[in-house]
Amino acid sequence: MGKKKHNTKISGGKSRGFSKDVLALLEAEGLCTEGFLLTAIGDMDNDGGYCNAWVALDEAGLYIATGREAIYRDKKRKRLRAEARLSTLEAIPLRDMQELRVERYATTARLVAKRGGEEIALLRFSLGRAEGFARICALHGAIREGKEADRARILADAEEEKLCERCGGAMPKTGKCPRCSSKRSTAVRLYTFFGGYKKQVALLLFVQLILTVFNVAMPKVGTEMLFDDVLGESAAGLAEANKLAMLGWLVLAVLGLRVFGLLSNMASDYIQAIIMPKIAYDIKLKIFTAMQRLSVGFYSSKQTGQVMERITEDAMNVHFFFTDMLPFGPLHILKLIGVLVMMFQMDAGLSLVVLSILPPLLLLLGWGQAFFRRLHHKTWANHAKVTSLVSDNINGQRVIKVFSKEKEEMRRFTKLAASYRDAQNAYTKKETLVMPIFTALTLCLTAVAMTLGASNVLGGRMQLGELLAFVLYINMLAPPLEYLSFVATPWAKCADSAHRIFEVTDSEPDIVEPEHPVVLPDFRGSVELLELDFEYEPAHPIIKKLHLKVEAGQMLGIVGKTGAGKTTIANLISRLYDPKAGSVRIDGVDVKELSFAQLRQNIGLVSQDIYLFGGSVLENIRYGKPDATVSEVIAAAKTAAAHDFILCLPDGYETRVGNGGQELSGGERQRVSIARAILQNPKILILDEATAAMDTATERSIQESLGKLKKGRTTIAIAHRLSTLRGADLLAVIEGGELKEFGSFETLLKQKGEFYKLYQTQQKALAAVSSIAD
Amino acid sequence: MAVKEKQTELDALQADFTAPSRCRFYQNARGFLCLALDGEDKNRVQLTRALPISDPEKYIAVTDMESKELALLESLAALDDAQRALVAAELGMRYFCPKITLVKSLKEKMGSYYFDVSIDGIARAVTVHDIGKSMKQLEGGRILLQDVDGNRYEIPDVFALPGKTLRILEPYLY
Repeated sequence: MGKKKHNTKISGGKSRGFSKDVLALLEAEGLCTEGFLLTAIGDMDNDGGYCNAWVALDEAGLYIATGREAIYRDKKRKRLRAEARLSTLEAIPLRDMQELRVERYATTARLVAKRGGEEIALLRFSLGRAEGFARICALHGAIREGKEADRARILADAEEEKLCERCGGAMPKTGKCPRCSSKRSTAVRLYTFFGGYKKQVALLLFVQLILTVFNVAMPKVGTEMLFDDVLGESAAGLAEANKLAMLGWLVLAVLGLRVFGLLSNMASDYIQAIIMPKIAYDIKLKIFTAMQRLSVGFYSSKQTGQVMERITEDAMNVHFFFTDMLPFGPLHILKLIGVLVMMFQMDAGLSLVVLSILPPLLLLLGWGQAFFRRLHHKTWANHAKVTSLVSDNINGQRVIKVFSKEKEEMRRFTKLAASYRDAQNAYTKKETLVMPIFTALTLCLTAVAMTLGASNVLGGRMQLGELLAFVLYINMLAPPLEYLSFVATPWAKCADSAHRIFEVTDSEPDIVEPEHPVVLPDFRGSVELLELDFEYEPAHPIIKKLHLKVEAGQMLGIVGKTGAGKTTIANLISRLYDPKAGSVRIDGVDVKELSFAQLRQNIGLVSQDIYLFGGSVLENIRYGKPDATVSEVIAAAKTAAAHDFILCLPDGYETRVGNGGQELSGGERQRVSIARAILQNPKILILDEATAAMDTATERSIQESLGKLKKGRTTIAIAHRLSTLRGADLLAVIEGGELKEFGSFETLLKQKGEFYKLYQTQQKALAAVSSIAD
Repeated sequence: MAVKEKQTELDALQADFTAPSRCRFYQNARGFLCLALDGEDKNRVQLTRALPISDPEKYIAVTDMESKELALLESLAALDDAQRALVAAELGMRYFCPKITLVKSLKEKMGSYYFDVSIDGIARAVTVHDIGKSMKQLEGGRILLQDVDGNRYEIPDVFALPGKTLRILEPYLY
């Protein structure tokens, strides 16, 4: 082994893994790159500076090259090209390394080798690269120990990692590359909600067009024609009877225009009243559907307030814009166009003066939209914080009271509410400042038009009726212009809210059902965990290489200290999360391959966090099987030792529990939850500290009942109290996410390991209690 | 007597910090940080910050490679210069968190956010999934960012950076 200094330069195309340039450089150094089994790319030097590092493993050794690789645009060929430089190359024979591993730190990681009993730090890289290096380490171990099956599996896993054909980036399991997916603007995306109502929208636009024609014709008929053709100089030569007849026709025309205008308006309102609430409903439904589709991880990463805001306030903002703003948009725009056409037709010069207002107005509108959108986001974020605090306070009232923290909580609330108030004030103040600007612009315009028009009338270039109609048209410009000025703020609100809505609806769930799921003809319920790795946060492994098997119908007890990863195992078996590596197999099939329906139907989970929905006890027990008969519900409640206490409730099984309902104790809630799981009749029943809040007698009663139901059912019980697990066929002792001991109760006691220690500690505690009682 | 008992109760609620004089950190031949505690060689050790965000120089746990705590340092300031430098270098490596000096652009696609940032003049692309969770705003305009791979970045004061950075990030802050 030795370190060589290089400074070669080469350019070329890019291929998967290492770029062609890098491969060429390595080959130039005498390495046979075709023999590389696995490669990984690092991004740091040992001092924490960014650089490139190329690491490869073959049958003979490990190669670590460092240097720089840059992508630049070739101006002649008008394409991207890569350029690499090698600085160092290190080769370590495989036989020299007893161990190769990745050490993960808070934000970085390091490749460490053991040579001659001594540890050597080989390379530092950012945490994101750790997985590739961990794979190299695993392959190194498999080669050294001659484990051909492991070697084949590791290489197959590496092959399976798909890359996007277009950008070369890692492809998520959804099969859609987020970098290459088309991104349409929020406005265009909102427009798609109208897709299902094309006919109604077309009819609405047609009615609004007619309405505009009537509105725009009114000053021409009612003012210009009256003043110039009936009352003005041009009618001076007409007989009185003719004048009266013309007046009569004009009055009829005005009445007709008004009546038809009114009817068109009614039709327009009617159509809007039908489609807009439907569209708002569609939006809410889409958000809620997306939220149901998303995995547990989405909810655990967000404050309750944020999630609630998305369903309520964000959907409300979009709803308001759709019902109170958007429908008037086409009307105002059509009116603006119609009025401008009429004005140009009357006096092009004067119209150009009027039009001069539009460029600054449009600029102001563009600025206003971005500005108000930012302000609205600030208001929204502050409101979400207030909602979260209120939600926290409601849920944590007892803790607040016990610690006498009412005043402290009041202070927190006051501070957040004040921030919200200030944000809202800032928004309203700016809004009230902007509105008068538009009114002032319109007034100035009328004054200018009146002055210029009057001088035209005096000069004989315009008739009085024409000027009055022109001024009326200018006044008719005000509502569309005001609308356009006002629409910026609700649109800013709507766009900001829509952006967050799309964030939810676009989010891809972590847990995805396969396109063609496997449906087991005979779901028996054997569970096998194969080399399971899992982490909630990158680089903080919770489960490490966990490997165990439970046959169908057996009972597995999982014991371990708090935070050992027991609940995580339950979550992985239920597929609430997917493992980072390894697999969970049920009846020999990876749970990722199974259909959601079959999986959920056959796995019952009674977790530590019991949630009772707002509804009766009966409805809560029936949650997993809505068609269960009352007889079945009672039987399940009896098995869960819940029947007796339910009968003591004011309305028996019909007593309302959950949000706003009857208060139940922790043990009672657990029993309802167990009854719910029993009624579902799953092939795999997971009890995660399901009886922890119960007294020993009730726990024993439930155990006896469950014992009867165990036949043909795989039970996985997680418990602290070892007495709970006495009936288990197998016990797994978990420590730090690893399987420490595995076997029957008696075998583990004989082993005198961790389980034995735990058992002894609990026995001593019980003996101490007994002696005190004696 | 009662006062003494009260004092003992209060003492029991104080963390048992290790006197700096009991610790001697050193780097072994391969550059790994090791510790001799009360003269006894403990070999390789790991350092963990108790308050990595608000007080990174205080409350440092020293554990062996099996994560068993060997010592708890109250403050790095109590160590002599050479010892402090060794510990600081190790912490810097474990808690590597480059400082973003400019956010050039931020694009959102399908719920993922793509930051184009500059770190001391070097361009870097940062991808974030759940921006509400991954970007934390702390007091005084300090922002912590964690990308999809767990890498962390810091903006010490977003208000002190060019206005463009604030304009880009503002819709996601507060």
